[in-house]
Amino acid sequence: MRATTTRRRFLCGLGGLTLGLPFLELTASPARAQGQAIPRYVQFLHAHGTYFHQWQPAAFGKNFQLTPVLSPLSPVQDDLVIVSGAWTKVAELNEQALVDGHMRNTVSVLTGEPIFENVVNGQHVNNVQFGFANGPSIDQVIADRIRGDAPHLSIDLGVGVDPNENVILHAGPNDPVALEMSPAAAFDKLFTGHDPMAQDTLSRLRSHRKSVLDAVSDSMTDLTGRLGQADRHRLEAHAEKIRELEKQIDGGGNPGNGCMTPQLEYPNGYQPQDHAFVNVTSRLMIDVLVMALACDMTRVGTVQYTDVQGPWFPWLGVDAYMGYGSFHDRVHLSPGNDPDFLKIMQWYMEELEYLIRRLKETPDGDGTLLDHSLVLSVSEFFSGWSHAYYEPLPIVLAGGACGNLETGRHVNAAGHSNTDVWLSLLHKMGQNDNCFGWPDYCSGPVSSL
Amino acid sequence: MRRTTIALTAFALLSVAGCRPNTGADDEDETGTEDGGDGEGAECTEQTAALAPLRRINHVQYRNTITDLFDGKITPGPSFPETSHAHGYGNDPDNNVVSQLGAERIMLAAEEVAVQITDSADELVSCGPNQTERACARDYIVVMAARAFRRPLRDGELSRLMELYDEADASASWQDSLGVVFAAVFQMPQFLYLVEEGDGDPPSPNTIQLTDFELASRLSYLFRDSIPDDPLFEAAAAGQLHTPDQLENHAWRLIYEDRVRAAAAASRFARDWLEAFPGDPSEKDADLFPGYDDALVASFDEEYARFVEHVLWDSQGTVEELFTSNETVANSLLADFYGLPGGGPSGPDDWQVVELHPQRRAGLLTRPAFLATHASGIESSVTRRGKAIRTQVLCDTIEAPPPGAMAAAMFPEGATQREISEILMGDASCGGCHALMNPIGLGLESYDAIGAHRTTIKGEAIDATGEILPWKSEVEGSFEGGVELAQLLAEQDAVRACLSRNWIMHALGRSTLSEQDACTVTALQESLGESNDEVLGLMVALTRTEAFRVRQLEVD
Repeated sequence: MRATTTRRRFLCGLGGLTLGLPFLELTASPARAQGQAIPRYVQFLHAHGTYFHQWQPAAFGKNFQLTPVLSPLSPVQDDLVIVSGAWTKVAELNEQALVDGHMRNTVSVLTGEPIFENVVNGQHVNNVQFGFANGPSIDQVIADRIRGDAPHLSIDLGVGVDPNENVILHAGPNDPVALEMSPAAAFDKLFTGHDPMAQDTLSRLRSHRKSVLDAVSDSMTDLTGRLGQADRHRLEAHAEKIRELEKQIDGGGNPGNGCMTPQLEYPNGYQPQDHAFVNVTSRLMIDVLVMALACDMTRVGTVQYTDVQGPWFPWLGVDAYMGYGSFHDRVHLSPGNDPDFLKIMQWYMEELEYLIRRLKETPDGDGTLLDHSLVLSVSEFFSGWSHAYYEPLPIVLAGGACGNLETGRHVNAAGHSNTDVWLSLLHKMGQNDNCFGWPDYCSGPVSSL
Repeated sequence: MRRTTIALTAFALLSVAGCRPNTGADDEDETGTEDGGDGEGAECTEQTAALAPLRRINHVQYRNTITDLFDGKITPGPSFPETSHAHGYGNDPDNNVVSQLGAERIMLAAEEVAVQITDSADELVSCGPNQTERACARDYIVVMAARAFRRPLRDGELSRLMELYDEADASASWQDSLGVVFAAVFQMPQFLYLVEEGDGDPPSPNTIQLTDFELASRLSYLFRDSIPDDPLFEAAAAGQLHTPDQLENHAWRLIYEDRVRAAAAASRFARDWLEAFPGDPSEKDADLFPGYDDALVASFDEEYARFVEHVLWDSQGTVEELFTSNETVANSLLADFYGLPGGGPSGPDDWQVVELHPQRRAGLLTRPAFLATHASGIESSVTRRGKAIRTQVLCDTIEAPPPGAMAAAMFPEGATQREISEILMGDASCGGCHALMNPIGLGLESYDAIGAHRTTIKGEAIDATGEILPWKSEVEGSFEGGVELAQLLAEQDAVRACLSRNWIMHALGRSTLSEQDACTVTALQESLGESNDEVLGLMVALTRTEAFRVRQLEVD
């Protein structure tokens, strides 16, 4: 049964400041109690496209039916906007680089930029190099704008085996964002905090972190002499990361009334990157991320499913190797009717449904966390079989975006570059940019969004 | 950023020609050999500087550095970020980017070391009877921070560290304050990066002459993946470490005086070179390969390293031997894997030099670490194996698959690798490139997905005929099986040129070479003639080149 909701327009602000309190001492601030909401942006990135025969709903507008791939989202159908038709146009600039189909799309899908090495003095050149993207991904741009006083610019979590195969998020030109692959490490970073009364050597040492980072920051400025441009660029990016660590110490955040320490349970023998536990890791990471958002530890987060070779999906009861060398091989070699592949792509949508549900269950001010969030779910391409960038991306949006997103629709973005959709997302987050990504592919926001 | 000009030209030629061997190569192709730099026909009267991007020490180098800095009294913790191999060499800066998470991990790793310094400060720091604790701590910082930065401290550096010490000391013990200082030292760029700034007047605006201390680090991180040892520091301090002879002598000294570190460093190069990373056992089908577990994979890894060490240090050490030797170093797991007769290695920790079946195994390309890496979860992969040999052993470029390539060909269910290859090679859009890869890989069909030898596939006798079709490297020939492939490759000058190129890329953290590096490549290749084909001779020859001593900052 679908819930009927009358959506109120929330005007989100960037929140007041609660300076540097240890996590456990944080409580809802007066500003939050008065209902001023904080905007959040969340990404759900799944690998290998989708089961493309059965993804796109037939009808546009409000009266669309969920397709077999999207059917797990039916409990939250009214919270969704399906966006079809937009594709990663800029990836055509990567066509001649010595990269496989994955990298061609992964570096560009959220950045809207070509490969860094293929841009010289702002102009695109055809080069045989491969590498990272020439600019930041949309999440990092949004994070910079809406961060407020949250201690962490973004929380980026990986589920799967090898994140290096699948670098999508970028902080800037040639500057990949690494994913945290361990739920326990993410939990410790966000929720354990340091007990100021603890007297062990490590705790005493950590009480000096700020002075240490200050000294490190100062030492970075000594190395600006005889270095190449690319070297200086790398060092400047590194220095920025040190400043960010300092902000994490200073940052306060503004926890909402749904903020709680997440309760994580690990099954026996749990290893976060073991193929057999990927489904467990998925839920743990989503739980950590939702609470990081509720507690205003961060306002932007990503859960990325990283593994292009697998996993083997044993929890779905599908034949582990399916007669193919890997899940990857199967995606490439089985274009036809493949019920197991459908099952796998439905599983990703089950995880998305869980993320949306958890956001919706979490109170935030006088609404829910979902009311104040904009969720983007997408893969690096549409069809893993072809690995082609010129096919429309499987985009699902969710959440109220503080009253700025009208949900329960299927929107036609045909003819648009994916970056036009990301530009629309920027607008939903209260920004007024004219273009996102490589300018040649900007044709303005998607008006029907 | 565009790093090379020649690469651009080569690409333009390739995209016109596609991957089409046997096209009666047009004359232009002669200049377009892949990355340039094979040096053929080049006038090498003048030595040349080389680009060398700023390298951050990788996780292997970090562990060795911390261990050696404190003579093994401090243990590096687990937090330092692991180096990726997505972009080729582990020394390539693109594999060691400091991301936000990376900066956090580096901080945690520094704290892991600093805690041990605080806890054992009383043993680490020696203090004279009339010295204050602060003076003793200061002396220790002067010595240890200089070793960590691999050169004497500069004026502002010591005062910055002592300010940090004093700030901490106001509310903490001297031992804690010392820990605080080193928590900073091990996050500083002067420690994390192999900084090569030179001093004095540069030879030209776009180059710098490395200082003796910077050369000590280049030598040390190349031949032992760690900080310079005492003789290197002493030579640098005495200004005795910048001539080709001085550098070469120290390189040989490191190779023979510190064999454990040197062999590990050479093996790390050899692994990166052929991308021999068999990885997690769960990547292979446990039903088909029940014995493929952590212990066997670890044995593959160690065998690869021990084989390289055995050839380079205990045998003739030639390029030929690296490709053709039918010896290896095996433990009991590998003895079973290879089907050796009993009476060999007695357990997993008993490593012995053994002889392998001379018609089945020859050198690096028949090591399971290589074969299992370049394979899928259930089968060999003739494309991946052929590609690895084409790009890493012959230094030929293979064009990227065109967009939508994966959906271009269809294969009948249960098709063999040979049948799949025939379909791919017969396809207009796939055939050009696959003809350069698959016929090579087909010659390795006698090795399954984990590198075990086999004589049949699905009951049919294996056809292990293979062929290298002529392409830019100009190597060609037919062969049957891995042993003949190894012999064919071992005869080629192009293979030696390619090894030279790879060693230069590894040493300088480069992802490509350019025409400008041609003479350096030639110098290394020619050194093999002087050293009876010895690989270590080739490695050391780099230390005599201008490219080793003079760093170019930007592409000309």
